[in-house]
Amino acid sequence: MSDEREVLCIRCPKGCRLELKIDEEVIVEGNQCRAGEDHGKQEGREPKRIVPTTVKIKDARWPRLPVRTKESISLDKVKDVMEAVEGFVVEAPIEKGDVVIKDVAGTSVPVIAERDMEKIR
Amino acid sequence: MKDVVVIGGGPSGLAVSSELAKKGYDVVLLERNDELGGLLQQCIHDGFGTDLFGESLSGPEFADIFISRVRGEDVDIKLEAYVRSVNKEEGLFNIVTVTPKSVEELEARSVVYAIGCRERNQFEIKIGGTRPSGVYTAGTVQRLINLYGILPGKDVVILGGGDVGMIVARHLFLEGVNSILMVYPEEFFSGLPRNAQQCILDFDIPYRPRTIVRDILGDKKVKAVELVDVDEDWEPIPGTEEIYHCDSVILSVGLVPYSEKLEDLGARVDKKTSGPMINEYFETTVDGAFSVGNLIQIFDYVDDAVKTSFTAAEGVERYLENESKKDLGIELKPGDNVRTVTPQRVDERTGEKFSVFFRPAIEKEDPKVEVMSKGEVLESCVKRYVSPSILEEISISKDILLGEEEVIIDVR
Repeated sequence: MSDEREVLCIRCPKGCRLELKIDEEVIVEGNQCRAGEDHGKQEGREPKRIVPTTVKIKDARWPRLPVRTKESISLDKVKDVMEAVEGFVVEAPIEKGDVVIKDVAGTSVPVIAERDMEKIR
Repeated sequence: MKDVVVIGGGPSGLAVSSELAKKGYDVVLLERNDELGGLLQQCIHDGFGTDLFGESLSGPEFADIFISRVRGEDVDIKLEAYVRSVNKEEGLFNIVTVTPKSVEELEARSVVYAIGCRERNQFEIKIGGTRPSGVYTAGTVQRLINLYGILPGKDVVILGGGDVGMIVARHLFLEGVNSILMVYPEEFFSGLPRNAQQCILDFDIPYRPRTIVRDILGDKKVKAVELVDVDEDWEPIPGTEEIYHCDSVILSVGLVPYSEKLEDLGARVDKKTSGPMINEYFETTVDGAFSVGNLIQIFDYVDDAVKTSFTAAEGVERYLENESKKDLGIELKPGDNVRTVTPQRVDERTGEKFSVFFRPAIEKEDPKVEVMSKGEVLESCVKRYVSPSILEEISISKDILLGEEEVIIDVR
Protein backbone atom coordinates (compact mmCIF):
# COMPACT_ATOMS: atom_id res chain seq x y z
CA MET A 1 0.00 0.00 0.00
CA SER A 2 1.46 3.32 -0.88
CA ASP A 3 1.16 6.35 1.31
CA GLU A 4 1.51 10.00 0.33
CA ARG A 5 2.67 12.72 2.63
CA GLU A 6 3.85 16.31 2.49
CA VAL A 7 6.58 17.57 4.81
CA LEU A 8 8.62 20.75 4.98
CA CYS A 9 12.32 20.14 4.57
CA ILE A 10 14.34 21.05 7.68
CA ARG A 11 17.83 20.75 6.23
CA CYS A 12 18.23 24.45 5.52
CA PRO A 13 16.23 27.69 5.88
CA LYS A 14 14.68 27.39 2.43
CA GLY A 15 12.22 24.83 3.76
CA CYS A 16 11.25 23.12 0.49
CA ARG A 17 7.86 21.44 0.42
CA LEU A 18 8.65 17.78 -0.11
CA GLU A 19 6.05 15.43 -1.49
CA LEU A 20 6.70 11.88 -0.40
CA LYS A 21 5.33 8.77 -2.07
CA ILE A 22 5.98 6.01 0.39
CA ASP A 23 5.98 2.48 -0.97
CA GLU A 24 8.72 -0.07 -0.61
CA GLU A 25 10.89 2.81 -1.67
CA VAL A 26 10.34 6.47 -0.88
CA ILE A 27 10.05 8.80 -3.86
CA VAL A 28 10.75 12.47 -3.09
CA GLU A 29 9.54 15.39 -5.16
CA GLY A 30 9.82 19.13 -4.59
CA ASN A 31 13.38 19.04 -3.27
CA GLN A 32 16.00 21.39 -4.69
CA CYS A 33 19.10 19.60 -3.60
CA ARG A 34 20.59 16.26 -2.68
CA ALA A 35 20.22 16.89 1.06
CA GLY A 36 16.50 17.42 0.48
CA GLU A 37 16.18 14.08 -1.25
CA ASP A 38 18.07 12.33 1.55
CA HIS A 39 15.91 14.07 4.10
CA GLY A 40 12.69 13.15 2.29
CA LYS A 41 13.69 9.51 2.10
CA GLN A 42 14.53 9.48 5.79
CA GLU A 43 11.24 11.21 6.64
CA GLY A 44 9.36 8.59 4.67
CA ARG A 45 11.06 5.69 6.43
CA GLU A 46 11.68 7.01 9.91
CA PRO A 47 11.65 10.73 10.84
CA LYS A 48 14.65 11.54 13.01
CA ARG A 49 15.52 14.61 15.06
CA ILE A 50 18.26 16.02 17.27
CA VAL A 51 16.79 16.57 20.76
CA PRO A 52 17.99 19.71 22.58
CA THR A 53 17.30 20.18 26.27
CA THR A 54 19.06 21.10 29.51
CA VAL A 55 20.21 19.31 32.66
CA LYS A 56 20.82 20.73 36.12
CA ILE A 57 24.43 21.70 36.76
CA LYS A 58 26.04 22.35 40.13
CA ASP A 59 28.64 25.03 40.88
CA ALA A 60 28.37 26.70 37.49
CA ARG A 61 27.51 30.19 36.26
CA TRP A 62 24.05 29.06 35.13
CA PRO A 63 21.70 26.62 36.85
CA ARG A 64 21.32 24.68 33.58
CA LEU A 65 23.69 23.13 31.08
CA PRO A 66 22.47 22.84 27.47
CA VAL A 67 22.76 19.30 26.13
CA ARG A 68 21.62 17.47 23.02
CA THR A 69 21.57 14.02 21.48
CA LYS A 70 24.84 13.59 19.61
CA GLU A 71 23.00 12.27 16.58
CA SER A 72 19.40 12.48 15.52
CA ILE A 73 17.05 9.92 17.02
CA SER A 74 13.68 8.59 16.01
CA LEU A 75 10.93 11.21 16.39
CA ASP A 76 8.85 8.62 18.28
CA LYS A 77 11.58 8.40 20.90
CA VAL A 78 11.81 12.14 21.64
CA LYS A 79 9.50 11.98 24.67
CA ASP A 80 11.41 8.97 26.06
CA VAL A 81 14.65 10.89 25.75
CA MET A 82 13.14 13.86 27.57
CA GLU A 83 11.97 11.60 30.40
CA ALA A 84 15.38 9.93 30.67
CA VAL A 85 17.14 13.29 30.90
CA GLU A 86 14.72 14.75 33.42
CA GLY A 87 16.16 14.96 36.91
CA PHE A 88 19.70 14.40 35.69
CA VAL A 89 22.32 16.47 37.52
CA VAL A 90 25.93 17.13 36.53
CA GLU A 91 28.74 18.98 38.26
CA ALA A 92 30.94 21.70 36.82
CA PRO A 93 33.44 21.84 35.23
CA ILE A 94 32.03 20.52 31.97
CA GLU A 95 33.59 20.73 28.56
CA LYS A 96 31.80 21.00 25.26
CA GLY A 97 31.23 17.52 23.83
CA ASP A 98 31.44 15.76 27.22
CA VAL A 99 29.15 12.74 27.32
CA VAL A 100 26.45 13.37 29.90
CA ILE A 101 24.46 10.17 29.30
CA LYS A 102 26.06 7.30 27.40
CA ASP A 103 23.04 5.64 25.84
CA VAL A 104 19.86 7.60 26.27
CA ALA A 105 16.53 5.76 26.46
CA GLY A 106 17.85 2.69 24.63
CA THR A 107 18.64 4.64 21.46
CA SER A 108 22.38 3.86 21.73
CA VAL A 109 22.92 7.57 21.11
CA PRO A 110 24.75 9.62 23.75
CA VAL A 111 23.64 12.97 25.17
CA ILE A 112 26.47 15.50 25.02
CA ALA A 113 27.18 18.93 26.52
CA GLU A 114 26.75 21.81 24.07
CA ARG A 115 29.22 24.13 25.78
CA ASP A 116 31.96 24.50 28.37
CA MET A 117 30.84 25.48 31.82
CA GLU A 118 33.54 26.23 34.34
CA LYS A 119 33.37 25.66 38.08
CA ILE A 120 32.68 28.90 39.89
CA ARG A 121 32.45 28.04 43.58
CA MET B 1 44.73 54.91 20.30
CA LYS B 2 43.01 51.77 19.04
CA ASP B 3 42.38 50.89 15.40
CA VAL B 4 38.90 49.47 15.99
CA VAL B 5 36.45 49.19 18.83
CA VAL B 6 33.79 46.50 18.29
CA ILE B 7 30.64 46.87 20.37
CA GLY B 8 28.85 43.58 21.08
CA GLY B 9 30.23 40.08 21.68
CA GLY B 10 27.55 38.07 19.87
CA PRO B 11 28.38 36.02 16.77
CA SER B 12 28.72 38.99 14.39
CA GLY B 13 30.84 41.02 16.80
CA LEU B 14 33.07 38.03 17.48
CA ALA B 15 33.51 37.34 13.77
CA VAL B 16 34.40 40.92 12.86
CA SER B 17 36.83 41.17 15.82
CA SER B 18 38.79 38.07 14.88
CA GLU B 19 38.88 39.00 11.18
CA LEU B 20 40.28 42.44 11.97
CA ALA B 21 42.79 41.13 14.50
CA LYS B 22 43.93 38.61 11.89
CA LYS B 23 44.60 41.51 9.53
CA GLY B 24 46.92 42.92 12.19
CA TYR B 25 44.75 45.66 13.68
CA ASP B 26 44.58 46.63 17.32
CA VAL B 27 41.03 45.54 18.27
CA VAL B 28 39.03 46.06 21.45
CA LEU B 29 35.84 44.02 21.88
CA LEU B 30 33.28 45.38 24.34
CA GLU B 31 30.57 43.09 25.73
CA ARG B 32 28.06 44.16 28.36
CA ASN B 33 27.43 40.61 29.63
CA ASP B 34 29.94 38.59 31.62
CA GLU B 35 30.35 36.00 28.86
CA LEU B 36 30.71 36.03 25.09
CA GLY B 37 28.34 34.49 22.55
CA GLY B 38 25.34 36.78 22.84
CA LEU B 39 21.90 35.40 22.28
CA LEU B 40 23.25 32.12 20.88
CA GLN B 41 23.95 30.90 24.42
CA GLN B 42 20.22 30.52 24.94
CA CYS B 43 19.50 29.09 21.45
CA ILE B 44 20.22 25.50 22.40
CA HIS B 45 18.43 23.92 19.42
CA ASP B 46 20.37 22.80 16.35
CA GLY B 47 20.30 24.23 12.84
CA PHE B 48 23.12 26.77 13.00
CA GLY B 49 26.15 26.59 10.75
CA THR B 50 24.82 24.49 7.87
CA ASP B 51 25.95 27.13 5.39
CA LEU B 52 29.31 28.14 6.90
CA PHE B 53 30.41 24.78 8.30
CA GLY B 54 28.28 22.20 6.52
CA GLU B 55 26.91 20.78 9.76
CA SER B 56 23.97 21.48 12.00
CA LEU B 57 25.25 22.95 15.27
CA SER B 58 23.50 24.25 18.37
CA GLY B 59 23.74 27.96 19.24
CA PRO B 60 26.38 27.50 21.96
CA GLU B 61 28.43 25.25 19.65
CA PHE B 62 28.28 27.79 16.83
CA ALA B 63 29.21 30.61 19.24
CA ASP B 64 32.12 28.59 20.59
CA ILE B 65 33.77 28.46 17.15
CA PHE B 66 33.87 32.25 17.02
CA ILE B 67 34.78 32.64 20.69
CA SER B 68 37.80 30.39 20.04
CA ARG B 69 38.75 32.46 17.00
CA VAL B 70 38.70 35.67 19.03
CA ARG B 71 40.66 34.08 21.86
CA GLY B 72 43.17 32.76 19.31
CA GLU B 73 43.85 36.27 18.03
CA ASP B 74 45.21 39.26 19.87
CA VAL B 75 41.85 40.87 20.70
CA ASP B 76 41.48 42.93 23.87
CA ILE B 77 38.21 41.53 25.25
CA LYS B 78 36.40 43.60 27.87
CA LEU B 79 33.47 41.86 29.55
CA GLU B 80 30.82 43.60 31.65
CA ALA B 81 31.59 46.75 29.70
CA TYR B 82 28.50 48.77 28.90
CA VAL B 83 28.91 51.52 26.33
CA ARG B 84 27.65 54.75 27.81
CA SER B 85 28.35 56.97 24.82
CA VAL B 86 30.18 57.24 21.53
CA ASN B 87 31.21 60.56 20.04
CA LYS B 88 33.14 61.46 16.94
CA GLU B 89 35.50 64.40 17.08
CA GLU B 90 38.07 65.38 14.50
CA GLY B 91 37.80 62.04 12.77
CA LEU B 92 38.29 59.95 15.92
CA PHE B 93 35.80 58.05 18.03
CA ASN B 94 35.63 58.60 21.76
CA ILE B 95 33.93 55.71 23.58
CA VAL B 96 32.91 55.86 27.23
CA THR B 97 32.30 52.49 28.91
CA VAL B 98 30.92 51.68 32.33
CA THR B 99 32.14 48.51 34.06
CA PRO B 100 31.35 47.31 37.60
CA LYS B 101 34.71 48.77 38.63
CA SER B 102 35.11 51.99 36.71
CA VAL B 103 34.21 54.38 33.96
CA GLU B 104 36.71 54.21 31.13
CA GLU B 105 37.40 56.15 28.00
CA LEU B 106 38.73 54.70 24.76
CA GLU B 107 39.87 56.39 21.60
CA ALA B 108 39.62 54.62 18.28
CA ARG B 109 39.98 55.33 14.58
CA SER B 110 36.91 53.26 13.72
CA VAL B 111 34.01 51.57 15.45
CA VAL B 112 31.88 48.54 14.57
CA TYR B 113 28.40 48.26 16.06
CA ALA B 114 27.34 44.64 16.52
CA ILE B 115 24.58 45.18 19.05
CA GLY B 116 21.87 43.14 17.39
CA CYS B 117 18.18 43.56 17.91
CA ARG B 118 15.51 43.57 20.59
CA GLU B 119 12.10 41.96 20.84
CA ARG B 120 8.94 43.92 20.24
CA ASN B 121 6.83 44.04 23.38
CA GLN B 122 3.16 44.18 24.32
CA PHE B 123 3.08 47.95 24.30
CA GLU B 124 4.11 48.09 20.64
CA ILE B 125 1.19 46.01 19.40
CA LYS B 126 -2.51 46.62 19.85
CA ILE B 127 -3.33 44.41 22.79
CA GLY B 128 -5.84 45.39 25.42
CA GLY B 129 -7.06 44.34 28.81
CA THR B 130 -5.47 44.58 32.22
CA ARG B 131 -1.76 44.31 32.94
CA PRO B 132 -1.38 41.16 35.03
CA SER B 133 1.88 39.28 35.56
CA GLY B 134 2.48 36.28 33.33
CA VAL B 135 3.10 38.12 30.05
CA TYR B 136 6.51 37.42 28.54
CA THR B 137 8.40 37.90 25.32
CA ALA B 138 9.49 34.66 23.63
CA GLY B 139 13.18 35.44 24.06
CA THR B 140 12.73 35.93 27.80
CA VAL B 141 11.01 32.55 28.06
CA GLN B 142 13.78 30.91 26.04
CA ARG B 143 16.29 32.37 28.48
CA LEU B 144 14.28 31.28 31.54
CA ILE B 145 13.96 27.71 30.28
CA ASN B 146 17.40 27.14 28.84
CA LEU B 147 19.64 28.98 31.29
CA TYR B 148 17.60 28.82 34.50
CA GLY B 149 15.35 25.78 34.01
CA ILE B 150 12.23 27.78 34.82
CA LEU B 151 8.91 27.38 32.97
CA PRO B 152 6.71 30.48 32.70
CA GLY B 153 3.46 28.65 33.40
CA LYS B 154 1.43 25.54 32.73
CA ASP B 155 -1.17 26.66 30.23
CA VAL B 156 0.41 28.87 27.67
CA VAL B 157 -0.83 30.99 24.80
CA ILE B 158 1.78 32.10 22.29
CA LEU B 159 0.91 35.10 20.16
CA GLY B 160 2.81 35.26 16.87
CA GLY B 161 3.96 32.59 14.46
CA GLY B 162 7.59 33.67 14.13
CA ASP B 163 10.71 31.59 14.61
CA VAL B 164 11.40 32.39 18.25
CA GLY B 165 7.79 31.63 19.17
CA MET B 166 7.86 28.28 17.39
CA ILE B 167 11.17 27.28 18.92
CA VAL B 168 9.93 28.24 22.38
CA ALA B 169 6.69 26.28 21.77
CA ARG B 170 8.79 23.15 21.20
CA HIS B 171 10.85 23.74 24.36
CA LEU B 172 7.63 24.21 26.36
CA PHE B 173 6.10 21.08 24.87
CA LEU B 174 9.20 18.96 25.52
CA GLU B 175 9.67 20.31 29.03
CA GLY B 176 6.13 19.20 29.77
CA VAL B 177 3.68 22.09 30.13
CA ASN B 178 -0.03 21.22 30.26
CA SER B 179 -1.26 23.01 27.19
CA ILE B 180 0.01 25.26 24.42
CA LEU B 181 -1.99 27.20 21.88
CA MET B 182 -0.26 29.23 19.24
CA VAL B 183 -2.22 31.98 17.49
CA TYR B 184 -1.18 34.36 14.72
CA PRO B 185 -2.92 36.65 12.23
CA GLU B 186 -1.23 35.32 9.09
CA GLU B 187 -2.46 32.46 6.93
CA PHE B 188 0.51 30.32 7.94
CA PHE B 189 3.45 30.60 10.35
CA SER B 190 5.55 33.65 9.50
CA GLY B 191 8.82 32.02 10.53
CA LEU B 192 10.92 29.56 8.58
CA PRO B 193 9.11 26.50 7.19
CA ARG B 194 11.61 24.16 8.79
CA ASN B 195 10.68 25.51 12.21
CA ALA B 196 6.98 25.04 11.47
CA GLN B 197 7.79 21.42 10.66
CA GLN B 198 10.17 20.47 13.45
CA CYS B 199 8.76 22.62 16.25
CA ILE B 200 4.99 22.59 15.70
CA LEU B 201 3.87 19.97 13.16
CA ASP B 202 6.20 17.25 14.52
CA PHE B 203 4.46 17.36 17.90
CA ASP B 204 0.95 18.33 16.82
CA ILE B 205 1.09 21.49 18.90
CA PRO B 206 -2.28 23.24 18.42
CA TYR B 207 -2.26 26.45 16.39
CA ARG B 208 -4.83 28.86 15.02
CA PRO B 209 -4.05 31.01 11.98
CA ARG B 210 -6.00 34.24 11.39
CA THR B 211 -6.44 34.71 15.12
CA ILE B 212 -5.13 37.35 17.50
CA VAL B 213 -5.19 38.01 21.23
CA ARG B 214 -7.41 41.06 21.66
CA ASP B 215 -7.34 41.32 25.44
CA ILE B 216 -5.27 39.83 28.22
CA LEU B 217 -7.52 39.15 31.19
CA GLY B 218 -6.67 38.71 34.86
CA ASP B 219 -6.35 40.71 38.01
CA LYS B 220 -2.89 40.09 39.40
CA LYS B 221 -2.04 37.09 37.24
CA VAL B 222 -3.08 36.12 33.74
CA LYS B 223 -6.35 34.15 33.87
CA ALA B 224 -7.41 34.11 30.25
CA VAL B 225 -7.15 35.82 26.90
CA GLU B 226 -9.85 37.00 24.58
CA LEU B 227 -9.17 35.54 21.16
CA VAL B 228 -10.77 36.90 18.03
CA ASP B 229 -10.59 35.75 14.41
CA VAL B 230 -9.25 38.21 11.86
CA ASP B 231 -9.75 38.60 8.12
CA GLU B 232 -7.05 38.84 5.46
CA ASP B 233 -6.34 42.44 6.45
CA TRP B 234 -5.98 41.36 10.08
CA GLU B 235 -9.24 43.13 10.97
CA PRO B 236 -11.18 41.42 13.80
CA ILE B 237 -14.36 39.65 12.70
CA PRO B 238 -17.23 40.62 15.05
CA GLY B 239 -18.95 37.72 16.78
CA THR B 240 -15.88 35.45 16.79
CA GLU B 241 -14.66 36.51 20.24
CA GLU B 242 -13.78 33.66 22.55
CA ILE B 243 -12.45 33.52 26.11
CA TYR B 244 -9.57 31.06 26.37
CA HIS B 245 -8.15 30.15 29.78
CA CYS B 246 -4.40 30.22 30.33
CA ASP B 247 -1.88 31.28 32.97
CA SER B 248 0.70 32.89 30.74
CA VAL B 249 0.96 34.72 27.45
CA ILE B 250 4.11 34.66 25.36
CA LEU B 251 4.62 37.28 22.68
CA SER B 252 6.60 36.42 19.60
CA VAL B 253 5.76 39.51 17.62
CA GLY B 254 8.96 40.40 15.89
CA LEU B 255 12.46 41.70 16.39
CA VAL B 256 13.69 45.24 15.81
CA PRO B 257 17.30 46.29 15.16
CA TYR B 258 18.67 48.17 18.13
CA SER B 259 19.70 51.22 16.16
CA GLU B 260 19.03 54.01 18.67
CA LYS B 261 22.71 54.08 19.69
CA LEU B 262 23.86 54.65 16.13
CA GLU B 263 21.23 57.35 15.71
CA ASP B 264 22.75 59.14 18.70
CA LEU B 265 26.01 59.20 16.79
CA GLY B 266 24.22 60.81 13.84
CA ALA B 267 23.78 57.77 11.59
CA ARG B 268 20.72 57.69 9.35
CA VAL B 269 18.23 54.90 9.90
CA ASP B 270 16.19 53.10 7.22
CA LYS B 271 12.51 53.23 8.22
CA LYS B 272 11.85 49.93 6.47
CA THR B 273 14.55 47.80 8.11
CA SER B 274 14.71 49.97 11.28
CA GLY B 275 18.46 49.42 11.00
CA PRO B 276 21.14 51.93 10.03
CA MET B 277 21.56 52.74 6.34
CA ILE B 278 24.72 51.10 5.12
CA ASN B 279 26.84 50.86 1.98
CA GLU B 280 28.21 47.73 0.35
CA TYR B 281 31.02 47.57 2.94
CA PHE B 282 28.55 47.97 5.83
CA GLU B 283 29.66 51.49 6.63
CA THR B 284 26.89 53.68 8.06
CA THR B 285 26.35 57.30 7.01
CA VAL B 286 28.92 58.25 9.67
CA ASP B 287 32.38 57.72 8.14
CA GLY B 288 34.33 55.07 10.03
CA ALA B 289 31.27 53.70 11.89
CA PHE B 290 30.27 50.26 10.65
CA SER B 291 27.39 47.97 11.46
CA VAL B 292 27.07 44.17 11.24
CA GLY B 293 24.64 41.32 11.94
CA ASN B 294 21.06 41.68 13.12
CA LEU B 295 21.53 45.37 13.76
CA ILE B 296 21.32 45.90 9.98
CA GLN B 297 18.11 43.93 9.61
CA ILE B 298 16.74 40.70 11.02
CA PHE B 299 18.49 37.81 9.31
CA ASP B 300 16.73 34.44 9.21
CA TYR B 301 19.94 32.68 9.67
CA VAL B 302 22.97 33.33 11.87
CA ASP B 303 25.30 32.18 9.07
CA ASP B 304 24.12 35.10 6.93
CA ALA B 305 24.37 37.54 9.83
CA VAL B 306 27.95 36.45 10.47
CA LYS B 307 28.87 36.70 6.79
CA THR B 308 28.19 40.46 7.00
CA SER B 309 31.16 40.61 9.38
CA PHE B 310 33.58 39.30 6.78
CA THR B 311 32.62 42.03 4.30
CA ALA B 312 32.53 44.68 7.04
CA ALA B 313 36.07 43.69 8.09
CA GLU B 314 37.20 44.44 4.52
CA GLY B 315 35.41 47.77 4.73
CA VAL B 316 37.09 48.68 8.01
CA GLU B 317 40.45 47.74 6.53
CA ARG B 318 39.83 49.97 3.50
CA TYR B 319 38.78 52.82 5.80
CA LEU B 320 41.83 52.46 8.05
CA GLU B 321 44.17 52.33 5.06
CA ASN B 322 42.47 55.39 3.51
CA GLU B 323 41.58 53.33 0.48
CA SER B 324 37.86 54.03 0.36
CA LYS B 325 36.75 56.42 -2.35
CA LYS B 326 33.05 57.07 -2.06
CA ASP B 327 32.22 58.61 -5.41
CA LEU B 328 29.22 56.58 -6.62
CA GLY B 329 26.40 57.34 -4.20
CA ILE B 330 23.91 55.00 -5.88
CA GLU B 331 20.78 54.39 -3.83
CA LEU B 332 19.23 50.91 -3.67
CA LYS B 333 15.50 50.83 -2.97
CA PRO B 334 12.76 48.20 -2.66
CA GLY B 335 10.14 47.96 -5.40
CA ASP B 336 6.41 47.43 -4.80
CA ASN B 337 6.76 43.70 -4.12
CA VAL B 338 9.76 43.99 -1.84
CA ARG B 339 9.77 45.13 1.79
CA THR B 340 13.42 45.84 2.50
CA VAL B 341 16.76 46.08 0.69
CA THR B 342 20.26 46.16 2.16
CA PRO B 343 22.71 47.70 1.54
CA GLN B 344 20.83 50.93 0.93
CA ARG B 345 23.61 52.46 -1.16
CA VAL B 346 26.66 51.63 -3.21
CA ASP B 347 29.56 54.01 -2.66
CA GLU B 348 32.66 52.57 -4.21
CA ARG B 349 33.81 51.41 -7.63
CA THR B 350 36.16 48.79 -6.23
CA GLY B 351 35.01 45.19 -6.01
CA GLU B 352 33.33 43.43 -8.90
CA LYS B 353 30.28 42.04 -7.18
CA PHE B 354 28.43 42.57 -3.94
CA SER B 355 25.60 40.88 -2.08
CA VAL B 356 22.15 42.38 -1.74
CA PHE B 357 19.68 41.01 0.78
CA PHE B 358 16.00 41.69 0.24
CA ARG B 359 12.81 40.56 1.90
CA PRO B 360 9.95 39.93 -0.54
CA ALA B 361 6.53 41.36 0.29
CA ILE B 362 4.72 38.64 -1.66
CA GLU B 363 4.66 34.88 -2.00
CA LYS B 364 5.29 33.63 -5.53
CA GLU B 365 6.47 30.57 -7.47
CA ASP B 366 9.15 31.04 -10.16
CA PRO B 367 9.34 34.83 -9.77
CA LYS B 368 11.74 37.07 -11.64
CA VAL B 369 13.99 39.26 -9.52
CA GLU B 370 14.75 42.49 -11.35
CA VAL B 371 17.36 45.16 -10.79
CA MET B 372 15.93 48.31 -12.40
CA SER B 373 16.71 51.93 -13.02
CA LYS B 374 14.41 54.53 -14.60
CA GLY B 375 12.00 51.78 -15.60
CA GLU B 376 14.67 49.76 -17.38
CA VAL B 377 15.80 46.30 -16.30
CA LEU B 378 19.57 46.25 -15.74
CA GLU B 379 19.79 42.63 -14.63
CA SER B 380 17.38 39.88 -13.71
CA CYS B 381 17.34 36.35 -12.39
CA VAL B 382 14.73 33.70 -11.65
CA LYS B 383 14.10 32.20 -8.23
CA ARG B 384 12.11 29.03 -7.65
CA TYR B 385 9.97 30.44 -4.87
CA VAL B 386 9.92 33.57 -2.72
CA SER B 387 7.91 34.46 0.37
CA PRO B 388 8.05 37.13 3.09
CA SER B 389 9.28 34.41 5.49
CA ILE B 390 12.53 34.00 3.63
CA LEU B 391 15.19 36.67 3.26
CA GLU B 392 16.66 36.49 -0.25
CA GLU B 393 20.21 37.19 -1.38
CA ILE B 394 21.38 38.13 -4.86
CA SER B 395 24.76 39.08 -6.18
CA ILE B 396 24.97 42.24 -8.31
CA SER B 397 27.85 43.26 -10.59
CA LYS B 398 28.94 46.81 -9.94
CA ASP B 399 29.63 47.64 -13.57
CA ILE B 400 25.93 47.44 -14.49
CA LEU B 401 25.17 50.14 -11.89
CA LEU B 402 27.69 52.73 -13.03
CA GLY B 403 26.05 55.99 -13.99
CA GLU B 404 22.78 55.20 -12.22
CA GLU B 405 21.44 57.22 -9.29
CA GLU B 406 18.59 55.17 -7.96
CA VAL B 407 18.26 51.43 -8.44
CA ILE B 408 15.12 49.45 -7.59
CA ILE B 409 15.08 45.79 -6.58
CA ASP B 410 11.74 44.14 -7.30
CA VAL B 411 10.05 40.76 -7.69
CA ARG B 412 7.55 40.00 -10.46
